[in-house]
Amino acid sequence: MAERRHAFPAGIRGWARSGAALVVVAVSLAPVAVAARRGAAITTATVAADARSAAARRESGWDCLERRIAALVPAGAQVVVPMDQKLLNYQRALEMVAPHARVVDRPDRARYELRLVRATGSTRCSPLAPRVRRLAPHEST
Amino acid sequence: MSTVRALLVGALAVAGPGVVPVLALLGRRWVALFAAPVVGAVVIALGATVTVLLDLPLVAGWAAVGVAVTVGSILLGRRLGPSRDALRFDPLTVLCAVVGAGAAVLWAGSRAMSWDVHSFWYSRGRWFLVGPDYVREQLQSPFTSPYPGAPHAQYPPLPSATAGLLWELTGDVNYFAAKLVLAGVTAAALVLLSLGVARLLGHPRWLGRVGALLVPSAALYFATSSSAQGHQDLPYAVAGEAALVFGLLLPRRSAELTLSVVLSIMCGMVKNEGLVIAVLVAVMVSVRHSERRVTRFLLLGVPWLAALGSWRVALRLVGLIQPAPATPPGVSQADELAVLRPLPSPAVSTLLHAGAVHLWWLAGPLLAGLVVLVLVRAPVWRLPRPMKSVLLVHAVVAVPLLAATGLTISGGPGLPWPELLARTARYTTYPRLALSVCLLALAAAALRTAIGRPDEDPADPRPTEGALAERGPPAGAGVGRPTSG
Repeated sequence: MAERRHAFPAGIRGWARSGAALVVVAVSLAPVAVAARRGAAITTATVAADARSAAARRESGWDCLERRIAALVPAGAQVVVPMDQKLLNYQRALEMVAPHARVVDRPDRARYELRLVRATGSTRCSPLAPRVRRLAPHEST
Repeated sequence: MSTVRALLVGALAVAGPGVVPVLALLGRRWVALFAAPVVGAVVIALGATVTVLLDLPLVAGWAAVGVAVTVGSILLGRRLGPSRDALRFDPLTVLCAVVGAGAAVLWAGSRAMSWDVHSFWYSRGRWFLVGPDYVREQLQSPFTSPYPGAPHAQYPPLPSATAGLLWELTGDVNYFAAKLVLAGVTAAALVLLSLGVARLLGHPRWLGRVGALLVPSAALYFATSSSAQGHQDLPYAVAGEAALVFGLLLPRRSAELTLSVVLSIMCGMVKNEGLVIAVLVAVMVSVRHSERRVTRFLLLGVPWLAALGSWRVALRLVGLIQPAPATPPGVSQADELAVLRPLPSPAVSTLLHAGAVHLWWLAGPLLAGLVVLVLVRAPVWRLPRPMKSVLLVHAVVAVPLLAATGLTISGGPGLPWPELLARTARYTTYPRLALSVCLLALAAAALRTAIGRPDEDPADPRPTEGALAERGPPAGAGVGRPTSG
């Protein structure tokens, strides 16, 4: 059976050893505590921002964008998303906000062309707005 | 359907299939309460894999996997027998873990979500509403990814399938309810990680409770504020670390093994980064629990790795993994970003610098503390054995993950370096969380040195002399002999 040890070792060397070990404890805990404090700040900032924003409680910008696209493009319609303009990364993922439509990769298979443009005017609910164009028969075959 | 009702349906759908398996394998423990949602989320992810593989609706795939997991766990539980001594936690430690995890997911009350979250995770969930053929069609479309390379649509399915199942069951596409349900799964994994860390730190108990309180918020910081917008870096990193702690650093018993298996599958089914962690943990834990017997290693490791790789295998079997599609006509995203922010392209040195920026303030104190601890301990030049294990297993997992991440992003999007630097904060989520757990283990070892307490090996369930003295006679409860997993 191991000998029962006292809470702190006796003697100056023992106290020095304990002091150094306690410094290690503080140095080890400090970065984790700082990270936890910053994590708590993320939470409080999010909650505070949400409390300030009445719009966030009603409808998110993406919900709004989806609703407007759904009003412009019939369900199941074949849609092409052009890749030739600014906001390209939004264009490529545009189909994600039109899940009711069938996004195809060639205009000759599509009935509609769908683009995102920067929203303007007082009725905007998102920084982006959909622009839909019905393709002519010679464009969509 | 209101968000509250949708949330209730989601909670039942996620936690329900996990109840019988955790009761069969873990028994009636506090930890079972938090393991059930994790098991349920894994069942949903595997159900999505079955959906893609067998061309079934998501609900059918989910039900089939749920029944299989339930029956399998009952049979396995009967074979292994009750684990009386495993995973007992005192109520105060559980309370600290729950409070810490709850504080780290309070952001779930915000409806805000980022573009990536909307386009990758939640909108992918809507594919399952249309049908399995539509899921397949979208998975192979190069246009479902805003980045070059493999489509983001082929990311593991746990987050999107959880949202899709919720919407299919409720008949209502409610993004806020999906965010709340996924936050609940994340919170359950955070509680499990906190409990695992508390057990890893051992005595004195107050340090374990402090660790249980701090770790969830620290993990949220490492995953960046994008978590509050619904990004999935927090759950994969937390599940991976918890799987490592339970599987490699705590006693070699069936309950710890069960949690490690479930958490690692969750880690691999959330993000591709998690797959690297999960595979490494699965291999190491299988080696540890096989006791050098090949048959045992195969019986444990093969089904585990098969579950982890099932999504990639399913995509390959149905021909969805193909060579990277040709760049569509027009300018690329990298071209556009270069026009918007004309900055130098990232080089390997920039990547290394970016990684070091995020890691040094955790790695520096760890190295300095280790040096001092080695110097003050008697005999000199010896680290406690548990501390060596903690450092070694974390290095084995974190270093390959960093290397894989560096390779991926250096050959991937080609983003300007400030963009990359910002993203690297999230790429180092897991390594920073691992460093934090190492720091807490170092604090525990140093504290025991300071108060002259003998070292404890958390992997050994037998109590030390010091623990017995603190606990007082009789020392029967919570003491058990190690059993093979």
